[in-house]
Amino acid sequence: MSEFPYRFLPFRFERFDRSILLANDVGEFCFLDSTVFDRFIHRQLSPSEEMFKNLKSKRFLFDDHLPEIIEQLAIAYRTKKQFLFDFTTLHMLVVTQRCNQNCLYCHAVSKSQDSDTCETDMSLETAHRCVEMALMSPAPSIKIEFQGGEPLIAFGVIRSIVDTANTLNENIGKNIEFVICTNLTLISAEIIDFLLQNKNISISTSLDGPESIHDACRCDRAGVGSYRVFKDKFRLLQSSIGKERISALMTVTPYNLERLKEVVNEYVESGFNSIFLRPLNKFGAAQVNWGKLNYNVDDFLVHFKEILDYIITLNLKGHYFPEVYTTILLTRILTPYSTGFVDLQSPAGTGISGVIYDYNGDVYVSDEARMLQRTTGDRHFCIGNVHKNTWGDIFCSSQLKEIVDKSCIESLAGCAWCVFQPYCGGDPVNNYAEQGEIYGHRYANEMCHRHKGVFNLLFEYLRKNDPEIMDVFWSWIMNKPINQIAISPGSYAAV
Amino acid sequence: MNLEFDLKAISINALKNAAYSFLGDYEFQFKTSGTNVQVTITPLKNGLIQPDIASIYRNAALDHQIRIETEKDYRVIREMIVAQAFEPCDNVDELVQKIKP
Amino acid sequence: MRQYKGVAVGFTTPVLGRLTTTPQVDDTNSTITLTGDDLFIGAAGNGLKQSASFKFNNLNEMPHEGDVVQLDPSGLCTVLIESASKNNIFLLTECCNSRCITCPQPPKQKDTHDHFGLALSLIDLLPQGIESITLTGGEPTLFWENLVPLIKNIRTKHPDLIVNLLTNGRVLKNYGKVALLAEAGGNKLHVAIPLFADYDDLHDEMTGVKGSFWETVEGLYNLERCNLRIELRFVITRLNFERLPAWAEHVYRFFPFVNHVALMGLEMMGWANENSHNIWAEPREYMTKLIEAARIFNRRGLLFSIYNYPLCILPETLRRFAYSSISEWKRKFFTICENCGQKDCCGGIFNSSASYLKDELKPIT
Repeated sequence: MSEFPYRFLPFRFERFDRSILLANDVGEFCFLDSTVFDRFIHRQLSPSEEMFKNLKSKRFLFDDHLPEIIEQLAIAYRTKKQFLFDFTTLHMLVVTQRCNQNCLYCHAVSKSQDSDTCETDMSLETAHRCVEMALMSPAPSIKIEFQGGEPLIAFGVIRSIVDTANTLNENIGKNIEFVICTNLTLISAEIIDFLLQNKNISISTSLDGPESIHDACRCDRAGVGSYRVFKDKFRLLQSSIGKERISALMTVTPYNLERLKEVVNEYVESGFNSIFLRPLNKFGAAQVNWGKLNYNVDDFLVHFKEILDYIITLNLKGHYFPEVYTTILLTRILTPYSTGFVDLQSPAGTGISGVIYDYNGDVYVSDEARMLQRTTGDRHFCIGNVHKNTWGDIFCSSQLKEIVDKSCIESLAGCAWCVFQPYCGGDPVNNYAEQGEIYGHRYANEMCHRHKGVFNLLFEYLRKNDPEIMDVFWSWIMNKPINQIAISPGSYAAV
Repeated sequence: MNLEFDLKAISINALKNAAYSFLGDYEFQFKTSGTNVQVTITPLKNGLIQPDIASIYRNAALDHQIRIETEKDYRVIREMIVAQAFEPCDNVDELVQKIKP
Repeated sequence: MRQYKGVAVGFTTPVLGRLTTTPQVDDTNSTITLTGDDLFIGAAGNGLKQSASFKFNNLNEMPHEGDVVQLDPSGLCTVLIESASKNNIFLLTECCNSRCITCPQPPKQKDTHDHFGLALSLIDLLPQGIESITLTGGEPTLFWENLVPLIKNIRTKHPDLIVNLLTNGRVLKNYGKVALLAEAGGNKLHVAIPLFADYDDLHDEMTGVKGSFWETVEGLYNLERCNLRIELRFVITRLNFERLPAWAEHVYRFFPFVNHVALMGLEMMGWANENSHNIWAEPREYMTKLIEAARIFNRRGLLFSIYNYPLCILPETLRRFAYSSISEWKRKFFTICENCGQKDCCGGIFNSSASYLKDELKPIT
């Protein structure tokens, strides 16, 4: 059979029942019927067919003007990888290892409050050096995130860091955002005052669900659940600094996996604007307690779909309430833009997008890398120390380069041909922890299995293209109420 | 389980790439003789073998063959896109002339 | 442009000036004073004798106070700038490097008038307080040595004036030229470019020039590199309406920096009229596609408007995006429109499209 004179542009594909999903390097995607796909790859698709025009328009095939097409796709590709150009934007600081809680899944291996602070807290000198290091990043906008233990235990260190950063920044001119990751139980008048004076600080906290769920895993060191204290402090905080500066995430465990609807309801009633359904990280206490905390990926995926459907329904009733993880993935699929989500990018965000400074000045490529060291003592991913090394020593090291080289999923087995590659990313620390080496083995990798499941789910929504669900998704991507997204304003209720 | 493939129709790389996603549950051995290759699939644990593994594997191999064939067409283009994205040059036209088949 | 017939006595060359009924002491010699109902005395220095006059044939149809007109010895009065209009159109050339099947004003081989020269004079006569002007053709960028100085001139004399440049963008594939344009016009220069389809074959078919799609696309990227404001236009015809949703997605994916999108109805004059059998489609045939494109843009926060449609033809969902784009002198309303509740917000229809659409019009209650 004679062929039509068109050629292929780079793409990947995967079969789903009768339908085949194609995706190209810039994230443009297309569903084809399997017979049309067969004709496409055998160059039997005629230029007069609608599908030919679609594939040409979406850049899956071409017949002429290759130089211009390359230029256009290069611009689009560069836009997608924009997160690389600013280098390290997220700087996490472990201000203390001490924590007043003893959560069942604590990946940070926290220590009790009465521990010797020399062994647990960041000294002011270390803090100062970390701030200097963070401000040396070429990124025009950076985020300084306080981690722990429970950062508020070392509030004095936080205050010092914020003051130092703001002062040093007067000569540098970066845009700095601060985030305090806290269990909220130690919020005090003094801290609220500080937050009112420093409007560029926001709060990220953990709420696992209603009381019985939250207290199943999140207790103080005496074993008492933290829910009541949490709610009191949350109300106090919200009435002082408002809703916009507080966000919450939850950790999915067997205690809430089948009760996610209750969790979401708790979030909505509490007045949170969004939820981040975060799977468990198998580090620290989570690893120790894995017997109680283990759930398999397929169960997770079933419940994830259920809860996503429920959240969509809430949105259609007028509650603007995105699921943050879904929103990030949808932004990657449906827009030409880059997303700064360091946990899932290619090359991995380790060091080059996000970095963590431990209480003693040790620098790790990611939070997971720090947790790995805490859990197993393995310092494979420690790239230096702020007291001993320069910025160049740390960020231009061959050690960091090697980690990043090996995390470009474009060239990893399994990822290289995966249709979801443009939207996905690598986690070399997770691979090393789970499977013993940075490359990882996709065929037995939980993170891969879970992501493929989530992508499958999202693409099924996209293939169905239900107009109401798409309006919800776009309201999340654009961060706007659904009535502003909808073509007919007022077609959705407003709450 | 043994499967036969004709290397004139499907490349060894397609067969190996297809095997990759099953490596969690199976071991694969490839024995080439002339233009034929014999693929031996052995379950790793419990001795349990999926009943339709043969057709699933064959289909996966065929799809990988498609990937290899189409990549011959676009591989250089992909490299040029990435190069142009990160180190743009003014003479893309000239470079494209050089890669014309 | 609006034109009026009259009888000119006592002048041998065309006279350009701003009309007023109040006698002026005018140092610039730019004012034409209309006294009485029909007589006028030209300001001294126009090269006119004091007894020169222009008598309008129809006293009920005359230009307005503040309009800038050209009076010809032949008796023709052409209104070149309408004082009441928010946006005035300056024709810079009748030559074009494309042959669009939808062209309402088919191009000529050579310009017979010095359009650029006239434009320069008009810039001097432009009243302060006008919001914007449109530079159009033909293809204005074909006369680069005239265009850039003209834009610079406008910016100097009227620094707050928005200048809309209508162009097919093909000459703008040259980065150096776009940089010059940006230097001349800055953020007051808004460039409007038509892209007829989301793939080259159809666009080239409609412009009549093979390769024009990619030239225009390169022009778009250059405009973006130079930070110039872009309006991307889609003219809806039988040939391309099927691609409306795909075009919308394509624009968002590859040209997300575009500031505004205009989805436009046809002006059935010139070649558009000659090709009507090929390009005219009833709005009801493509209204679903138009709504889909609108939905795509609205979700993505890409600003868009719908030009050249009366409100009654559009479904209620889309009416808020309609923009009154038709110049007053080209615009028509029917008697049936008198009963319409939305007449004051409606842009009417093109005179030239009247016969095509008249059966579709109905008042909105």
